[in-house]
Amino acid sequence: MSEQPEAFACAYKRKENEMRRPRPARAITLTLTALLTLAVVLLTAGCSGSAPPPPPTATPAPSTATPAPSTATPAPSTATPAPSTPTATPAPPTATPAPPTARPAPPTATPAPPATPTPSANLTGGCIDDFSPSVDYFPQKSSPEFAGNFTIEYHKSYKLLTVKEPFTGGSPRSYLLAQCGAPVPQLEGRWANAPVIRIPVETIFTGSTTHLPMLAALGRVDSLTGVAQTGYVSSQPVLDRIAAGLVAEFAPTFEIDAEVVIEASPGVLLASDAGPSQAHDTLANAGIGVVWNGEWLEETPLGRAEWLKMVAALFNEEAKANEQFENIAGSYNALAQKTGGIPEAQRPTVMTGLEFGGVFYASGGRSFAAQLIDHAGGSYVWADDDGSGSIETDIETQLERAGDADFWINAGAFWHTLSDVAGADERYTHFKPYKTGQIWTNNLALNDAGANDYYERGVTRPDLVLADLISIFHPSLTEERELQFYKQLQAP
Amino acid sequence: MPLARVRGWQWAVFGGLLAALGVMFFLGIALGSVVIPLDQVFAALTGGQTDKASWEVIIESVRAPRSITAVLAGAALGLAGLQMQTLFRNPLADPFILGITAGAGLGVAVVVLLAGAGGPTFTAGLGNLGNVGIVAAAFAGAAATLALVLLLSARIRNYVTILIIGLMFSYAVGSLVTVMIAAADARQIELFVAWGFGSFRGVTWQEMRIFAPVVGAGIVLGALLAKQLNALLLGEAYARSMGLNVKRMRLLTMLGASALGGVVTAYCGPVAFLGVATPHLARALLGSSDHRLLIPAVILLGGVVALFAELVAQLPGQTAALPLNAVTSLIGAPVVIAVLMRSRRGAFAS
Amino acid sequence: MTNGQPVLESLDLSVGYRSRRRVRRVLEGLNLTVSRGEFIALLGPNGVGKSTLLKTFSAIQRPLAGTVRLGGRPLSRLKPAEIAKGLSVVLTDRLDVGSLSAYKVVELGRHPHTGWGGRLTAYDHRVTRWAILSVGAVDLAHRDVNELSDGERQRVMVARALAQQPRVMLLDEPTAYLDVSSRVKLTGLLRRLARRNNLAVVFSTHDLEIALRTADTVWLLAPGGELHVGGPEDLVLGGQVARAFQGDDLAFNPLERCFRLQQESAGRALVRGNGLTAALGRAALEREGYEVARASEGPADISVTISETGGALWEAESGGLSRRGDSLAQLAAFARAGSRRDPG
Repeated sequence: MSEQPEAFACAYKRKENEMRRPRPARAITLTLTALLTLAVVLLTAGCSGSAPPPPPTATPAPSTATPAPSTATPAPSTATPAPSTPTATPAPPTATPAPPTARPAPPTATPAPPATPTPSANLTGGCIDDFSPSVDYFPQKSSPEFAGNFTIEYHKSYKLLTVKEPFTGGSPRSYLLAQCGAPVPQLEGRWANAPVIRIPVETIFTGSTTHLPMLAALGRVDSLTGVAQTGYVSSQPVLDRIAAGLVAEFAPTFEIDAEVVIEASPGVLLASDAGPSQAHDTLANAGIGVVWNGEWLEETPLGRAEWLKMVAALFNEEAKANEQFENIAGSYNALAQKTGGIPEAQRPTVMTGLEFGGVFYASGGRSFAAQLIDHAGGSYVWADDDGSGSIETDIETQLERAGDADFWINAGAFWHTLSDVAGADERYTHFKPYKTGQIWTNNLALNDAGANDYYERGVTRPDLVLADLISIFHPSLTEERELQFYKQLQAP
Repeated sequence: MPLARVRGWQWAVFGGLLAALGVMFFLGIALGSVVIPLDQVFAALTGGQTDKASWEVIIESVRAPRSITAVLAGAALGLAGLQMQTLFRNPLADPFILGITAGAGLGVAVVVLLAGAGGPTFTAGLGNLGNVGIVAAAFAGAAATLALVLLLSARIRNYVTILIIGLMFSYAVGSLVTVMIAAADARQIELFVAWGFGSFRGVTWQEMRIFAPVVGAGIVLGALLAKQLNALLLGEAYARSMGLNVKRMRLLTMLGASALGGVVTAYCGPVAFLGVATPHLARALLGSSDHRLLIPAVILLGGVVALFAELVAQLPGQTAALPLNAVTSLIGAPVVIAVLMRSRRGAFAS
Repeated sequence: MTNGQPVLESLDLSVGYRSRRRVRRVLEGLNLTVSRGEFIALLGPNGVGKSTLLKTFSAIQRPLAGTVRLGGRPLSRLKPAEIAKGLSVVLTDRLDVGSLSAYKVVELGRHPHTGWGGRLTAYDHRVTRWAILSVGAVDLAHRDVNELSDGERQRVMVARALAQQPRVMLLDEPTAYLDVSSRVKLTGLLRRLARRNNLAVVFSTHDLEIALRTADTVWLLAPGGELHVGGPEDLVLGGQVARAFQGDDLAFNPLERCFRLQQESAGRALVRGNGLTAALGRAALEREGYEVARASEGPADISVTISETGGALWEAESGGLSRRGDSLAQLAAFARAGSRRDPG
């Protein structure tokens, strides 16, 4: 699934199931309309309330990841499972993980000699051949600081990945990422049935184009063997791979084609769908690890970008991820700090969005766009709204609120001149940004095929987007730089 | 002899309708999601200055075209529905019975749904296609359907056959749209569905320059055909015996009604219900099937009902509007049922 | 009466149906004339083509061959409105006009006389009122046509046809759905209209008795499509009526100009007596299959004496039994028993 304007993200993801159903041409049959209405009303209402859970306490994970050595040595005598009552409460994910008890005597089951050297880095390719249960195979660890929708818990030879809200309203999904060459631990509770993914994965299918820059950042574009739709890709290395026939298209009609996936049998598939479908079951039954990507349910731009760490965990590339993300977060925060002190009176007012079919769609007050505007030293006209998705209002309310806005950003993606604006809807001309020529679209990075890098790299590099916005709102605060994503509409 | 033409109480009905239209229109101007004080509304209407500049813009550029659109669309749908019901002698007929909506829907589907199939041209939102592109597509689809239907009906005498052809056409087009939906992404489908909700808010002054004259021409044509429609009340054979050129009249009526239905669909989406219901309400109000009474009545009543639906869809002070079609159908259907059950004659007329 | 000047005529007219594949001729070679003021009954059994002929005459349907002339000019050369000013119709189509007052329906008859907008002048309203008055429907005028009885509605439809101010009015089975008294009333009305207004009226019917008793001229369509034209009495005399309708079960009685059920003879009956009671007594015996003799000509299987004065209504003797009774139904029952008792 390609990336969408975030203003629509919430409503659109939720409504997708309804939309997908084939409808008769007369889209106006009473029942259907009524149902849809109801659905839309309910869903939009639910949108704001369904924000992902708060970010986890920032206590670093490693402490829990080092179990006492004594428990790690499996007692060969206790072939019967330990009384499960105490371990059956899996509520806190940090509960002491059940030791790999009932594993029927693997060759390495005898206590490993403690002399085995601890690796200094994660194994980013291939398998270990001398498994020792006492060795920590993941000396490099990542933990999310800004992202709230996933957690990684490190153990010696496996990681426990949890996506808290895999899709809107979905219950948490857990994955057991087991180091290749190490035995798969038998876990209990909710981990007992967790899908097992052998890491480091060698091939990956991505459901969202936002993962492509992450692969690039990790230097793992070569592992990409499948994308949902090839037509939405912006990144040149990926386009080269597609041209070379190295990348399969697995959901050209927005419906996963299970056969294509099974044929290629990737190490993992990052699913970005609106909800589970039969295709996901088919893939799971075929033994293909499907990891849900809940990145777009993050609350902050940095949180979203931090999913780089989740992708890295699949490749054992934690070190690179940490470094890259530190840079991104560092530069983002530095930029935000520059504008943080700007008093409200000096902040330009900013509007977003478009009208369609009688509805004006604007970004919600807690959306990424709203946060970026705020961090860029702007004052968002809908800042008092507390929705993270999009606001559906009408043009007169928008006129009332934003008629005098100083800037209009994220306007029509296909607008190139101010006359496009007037041509699309005459009423747009009554907004002040039209009169002052301060309408900015995020389509500078539109390639010839029509894919927009804003929705690809812009998601993983919020610092760049922020820098663009600061250049627009406060040119004096930034040194001369070229805009990456934003373009000002010119008079024809 | 008690042989009056228009009876006193019928004049009263017309007076009432006119008054209701005036009130509704004023409410349409005065009410909206933004609360504007009444004196400011008057100030804007009389060309004075409003306290806030945006209010003047809202009234002049948002509410005025919206209300005029509602009146015109309601009148157009009511008239076209009346014409179709009489022409096909079918109480369920509406302006869309010949597949006009289906044709317009196909046009919109091609633009909205297929736009992204060749490339991701729609990913980023609406683009400058926006309303204008959709209007053009719907217009093209409706016009193509109309041409096809007129061509076929010139060869076919039987009304039922024409109806069935329209129905079959709708089914076939519906399947095409379904195929396109299956291959479209959710955002495009959402756009298509949003179009299907119907709305009077898409028409700006700019677009009014086409919308209003087409509706006006359709209404003039409809008024000229009132006499012929009356003759048709007795059936085709009688109409013929009274010197009516049935074929020409049928063609003109279908042309007029389809143009009315088509232009409304193009600019406002497939607005449900008004076309079927308004003629029934008008007959019940006037107690007559005389088209020289019914035509002005459906024009006024259509405007009133459409404005009312728009007002309900946009409850004052509330930002998000309900889909127009949900309002017209959910609120309108019980009203029509009640009216028909209370009137002695039951459903039909024509 | 007929002034000899034909207002509507057909020349070698063939009528029938034409579909893409084939042509079905119903009637051929028709040469008919209708004169002003003439009251014509088109008579014939069902399915012989009466409606087709009338529709062709009224230009609703096109002829297969030949021409129809209205006022001397072929229909094919006349504009629809011109035809409508000279000729109006009342059809069998059941009306479903919704809510329309009878007045409005009659007013519709002014259609060919008004302009594009259908605006009615004072004159149009006068004609409408006159038409309503002519059919005696004044008290129906403001009522909804849907609330009228069949007979009332038919009168309104005649008024509508009259409001067209035609020279010829064609009516397809105008009495079909009506009860006996309405039938007689309507036929009488049509005849009066024809006389008073010098209006030619052609109406189709299968009601032989009414046609023969009221029409100036009868167009008699025999089952094979053969057409006989003439005064009703002439057609009776010539035997055409009898031939057209006679079957195994029906025998035409020329004198009474009506048909009677043909059945196996039950015997001879002798009825003495006079007056209405005796006549009805004879009718009762005829219904039971007896040939009724008037005088005592030879032996009788049943002999009846009808007396209207005192005592029993009738006395009868049959096969050695005698009876008397107070009702003719009793007489019929006695006769019936007698015919069973004494077959032959």
